[in-house]
Amino acid sequence: MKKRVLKIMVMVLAVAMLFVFAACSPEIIYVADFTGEGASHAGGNTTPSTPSTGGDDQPSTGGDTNPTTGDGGTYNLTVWCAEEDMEMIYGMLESYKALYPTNKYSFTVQPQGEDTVTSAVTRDVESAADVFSFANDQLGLLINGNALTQIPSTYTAQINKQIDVARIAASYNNSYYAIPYSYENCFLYYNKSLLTDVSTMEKILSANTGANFNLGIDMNDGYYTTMFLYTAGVEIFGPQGNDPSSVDLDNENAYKACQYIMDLHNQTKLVSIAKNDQSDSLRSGRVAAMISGPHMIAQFKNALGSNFGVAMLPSIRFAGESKDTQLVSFSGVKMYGVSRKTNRDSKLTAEAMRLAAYLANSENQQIRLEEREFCPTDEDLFDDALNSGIEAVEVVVNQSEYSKLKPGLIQMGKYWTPMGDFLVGVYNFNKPESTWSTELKKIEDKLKE
Amino acid sequence: MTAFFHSLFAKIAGWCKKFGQNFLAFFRNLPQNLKKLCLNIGRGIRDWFLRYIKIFREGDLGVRMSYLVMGSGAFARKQIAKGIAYLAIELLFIFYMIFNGAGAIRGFFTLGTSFTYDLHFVGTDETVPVAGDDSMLCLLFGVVAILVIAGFLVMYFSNIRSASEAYENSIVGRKLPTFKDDLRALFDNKFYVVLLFVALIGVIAFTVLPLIFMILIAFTNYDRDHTATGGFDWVGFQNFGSLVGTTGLSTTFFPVLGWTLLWALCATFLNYFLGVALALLINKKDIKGQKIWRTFFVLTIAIPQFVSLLLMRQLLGEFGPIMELVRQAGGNAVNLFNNKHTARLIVILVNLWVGIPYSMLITSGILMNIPADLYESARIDGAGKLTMFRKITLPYIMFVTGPYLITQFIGNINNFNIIYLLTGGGPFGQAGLSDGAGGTSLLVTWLYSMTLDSQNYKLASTLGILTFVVSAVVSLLTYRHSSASKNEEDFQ
Repeated sequence: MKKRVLKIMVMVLAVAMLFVFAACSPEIIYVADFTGEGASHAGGNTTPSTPSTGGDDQPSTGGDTNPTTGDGGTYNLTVWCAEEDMEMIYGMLESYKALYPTNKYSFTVQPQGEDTVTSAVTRDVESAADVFSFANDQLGLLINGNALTQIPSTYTAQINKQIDVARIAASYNNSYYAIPYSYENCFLYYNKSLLTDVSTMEKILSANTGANFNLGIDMNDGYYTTMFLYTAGVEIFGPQGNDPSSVDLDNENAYKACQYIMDLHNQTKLVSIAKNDQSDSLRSGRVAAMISGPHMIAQFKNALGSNFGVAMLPSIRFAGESKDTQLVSFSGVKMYGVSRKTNRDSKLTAEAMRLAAYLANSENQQIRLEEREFCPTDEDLFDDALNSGIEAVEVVVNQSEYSKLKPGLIQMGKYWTPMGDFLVGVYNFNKPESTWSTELKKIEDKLKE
Repeated sequence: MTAFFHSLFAKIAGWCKKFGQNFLAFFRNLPQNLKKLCLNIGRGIRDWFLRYIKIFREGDLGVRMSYLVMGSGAFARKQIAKGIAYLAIELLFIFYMIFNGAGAIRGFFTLGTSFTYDLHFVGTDETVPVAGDDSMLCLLFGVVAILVIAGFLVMYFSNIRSASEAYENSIVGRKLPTFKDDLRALFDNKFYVVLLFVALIGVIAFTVLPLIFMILIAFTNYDRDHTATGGFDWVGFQNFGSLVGTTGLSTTFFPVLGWTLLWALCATFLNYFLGVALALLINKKDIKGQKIWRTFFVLTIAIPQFVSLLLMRQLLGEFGPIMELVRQAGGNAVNLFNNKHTARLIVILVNLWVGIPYSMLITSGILMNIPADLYESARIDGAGKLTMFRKITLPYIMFVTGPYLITQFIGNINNFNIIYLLTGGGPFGQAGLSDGAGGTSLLVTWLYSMTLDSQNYKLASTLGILTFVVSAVVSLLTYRHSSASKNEEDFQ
C-alpha cells in the first residue's frame, strides 16, 4: 500500500517537473546571450576588452552617415529593451554588425521594461546595460542619478532631424542626453460594436450602448486626470514642459478643470476603473470605451478582437461654455541612452553611442513602424505616417496636435502623487471647491522647492 | 444578563482606566526614570575608569606596558602565543586605521566630499566620466569602521584585564594557564564562547550593521533629489521634525497614526473575542460534529492569505459579483473602496474572516484544558453559567493568551498584507492627507509607498523608527501590566 502511494507521488512529481521545465524553457531561450559570428568571446558578458591598437583611428560617424568598415576592435556591449522588442533588436544588431565587418562584436540583449529601467540603471550604473531604451519622463531622474552620458555633437544632426517634441524630450539644460526613436500618445479605445460616434464626450456618454458604462478612465492616476488640466489651459512647467521655474497651478483654468472633473462624478455612464481591471471590463462588454495609455494597446486588441477601435480623444465641454474643446493628452517619447559608467573604456563608450544612434535611426524607426506599429519621430517619417494605413499610428499623429509632452524634469517626481491624489479627491467629492486654491497652492509650493 | 453586561462593561472600563493611569504614570515618571538612568550610566562609567586606573597603579611594568602595547602583560608572564595574538590584533587594527579606517571615519562625517563629474576636453564635446565618492558607501564603511573600532576596544580592555589577572595570579604564585590550556578551555568549559562567537559575528554583520545603517538614513536627506552618487548629507532631526512638527507632514502623519492604532485595536480585539465566542460555541457539549465545524473554520487558514485577500477584493470591487447582483436587482452599484469609511469597514470585516479561525483554534485548545472539576465545584457552590465564564473561563484564557494579544496588536500595527492587497492604502485624495497616504493607509503601507513610489528614503526610515517607537511603547506598557507577566507563579 505504502509503495503504491510512493509510486504515485513520484509520478506526480515527475509530471510536475516536466511542466516546470516546459514553462521555463522559452524564457531560457529569451535571456540567452546573443553572440554573433564575429564575436571572439563565447559569453557576451565578459569584461570589455580593449580595442586593438594597431588600427588607424577612423573618425566615428553617426548611425546614418557613411559607414566605415570599422577599426578592427573588439566590442562587448549590453542592450536593455522591452521584452516584446527583443526579437526585433536582434535583427537590428545583425545589420549593425554587417556595417562594420572588420569589428568584432559581442552583444547581450536583456529584457528590461521601460517602467523599471530607471531604477535598475540608477541603482548601480556600473553594472547596468551600455545602451538602454527609456521613456522621456525618466530623463531628469537618470541625469540626477548620474546615469546618462551626454550625446556628443557627432549625433546632433540626427537628433535635429526629429520632430520638435522629440528634440525637447531628449534635451536637458540645453544639451542632448538621449536619441529619440518613437512617439506615443494616449488613445480612446472603444468597442466598435457598441459605439459608433466617439467624437465628443457628450455623445459617448449619452449613447445607448447597453453596457454598464460607456466610458472608463482611471481617475486615481494623475496621468489621466491631468489631461483635463491641460485641456482647460493649465501649463505645467511652461508651454513646453521643460521650464522648472514656471509653476502656475492655482488659477481660473485649473478651477475650470476641477469643476469638470467634479461634474464627471455625476455622469452615471462614466466609471473610474483601475488599469488592471480595464481589459477585462472591455472584454466582457461592461465598459464600451476606455481612455488609456499607449502601453495598453496590445491587451485591448486582444480583449476586443475584431471590435477593437481606436480614436483620438473626444472633445469635452466645460461648464458654462458654448463650444467643445478637444481633450489634450499626454504624449511621450521613447529614446535610447548610453549609461554613464566611470569604469568603461572611452572607446567602448563611443561605440555604445554609435550603436544607440544606429538603433534610433530612420531605417530602424521604419522597421519599428512596420513590425510594431510604433510612431516614428523622424520628421519625414512622421509626416508619412499619417498615410501609413495603420490606424493606431494615424491616430497618434492626429492627436499630436492636441497633446503635451510628459515633462522629463526631475521636479515632475513631486507632481504625480500630490496632483493625482488631489484630483481624485475632487472627483470623489472629498475636496470641496473651497479647498481648491489652498490645495493647488500647496502643490505649487512643493514643485518650487 | 444585564448584570453580566454591567460587570463586563465595568471591567472593561476598569481596564481602560488602569491602562490610562499606567500610560500617564509612564510619562509622569519618565523624567525621574531618565534621571536615574543617566545617574546609573554616569556611575557605571566612573567605576569603570576607576577600575582601569587602579589596575594601572597597582600593576607591574608588564601590566602598565599593556596599556600601550597590547599583549605586553602576556609576554611578561611568558604567555607568548597569547601575547602574539594580542599584538597582532593591535598591529592589524593600526594598519586598518591607516589604510582604510581613518578615511572611512572621515567619510562617515562628511558623507563624501568630491562627487562624480564629467571631464570635458577643450575643443571637443567629448566627455569622460570621472568616478567620485558615493554617500551610501561612505555611510556604510563608516558604520563598519565604527564597529571595527568597537571590536578593537573590547579586545584592548580584555588585554588589560588579562594582564592584570595574570599579574595577580603570579603574585599569589598560582600556575598560569598556558596557551594550550586556554585553547582547551575554549572547547570545554568555555565552549559557549566558541559557539556564540559565530552567531555573534552573524548577528553583527546581518542584523546590527544593516539596522544601524537604516536608522542613520533617517538623519540624512537621502531621497530622489539627493542620490548616493550625487551626494546626500546629515540633517540631524529635520526629518522627525517634518513628520511630527507643526509644519510639513504632521497633518498626514497623525491621522495615519490614529487610524493605524484604531485599526490595530479593532482588528486585535474583535478577532480575539469573536474567536473566543466561536470556540465556546463549538466546544459546547451538546453541539454535534464539533470536529467538522472546527475543520470548516480552519479551512480558511489552509488557503494562502494573499489569495483570499485578492479574491475578496474582486468580490467586493465595483465589477465584482456582489455589485453585479446589486446591478441586476436594479440597484445603484457603488465602489465600496472609493469611500474612506466603507473601505475601512471592509478591511476590518475581511480581517475578521481571515483572523477569527486562528484565535478560535488557540482558545479551543485552552478550553479543552480547563479542569472539569473547577466547573463542577463551582456548580455545587451554586454558580451560574455566566459566573463560571467570568470567574473560571475568562481568567484562564486571558492568562494564557495575554502575550498573544500583545503580539497580535503589534502585528496588526504592521499588518501590511491586508491593507496593501485589499485597498492599496486607498481611497486617495482624502482631505488633509498628502504624500501618497490614503484613507486606509497604515504607517507601514505609507512607508512602502514612500520608498517605492517617491523614493523618499529619509522619511521612510524616519517613519520606520517612529513605528517601532509606537510598537515598543504599547507592548512594554501592556505586557508589564498583563497578569501573565505579573503573576507568573500563579498558573495552576
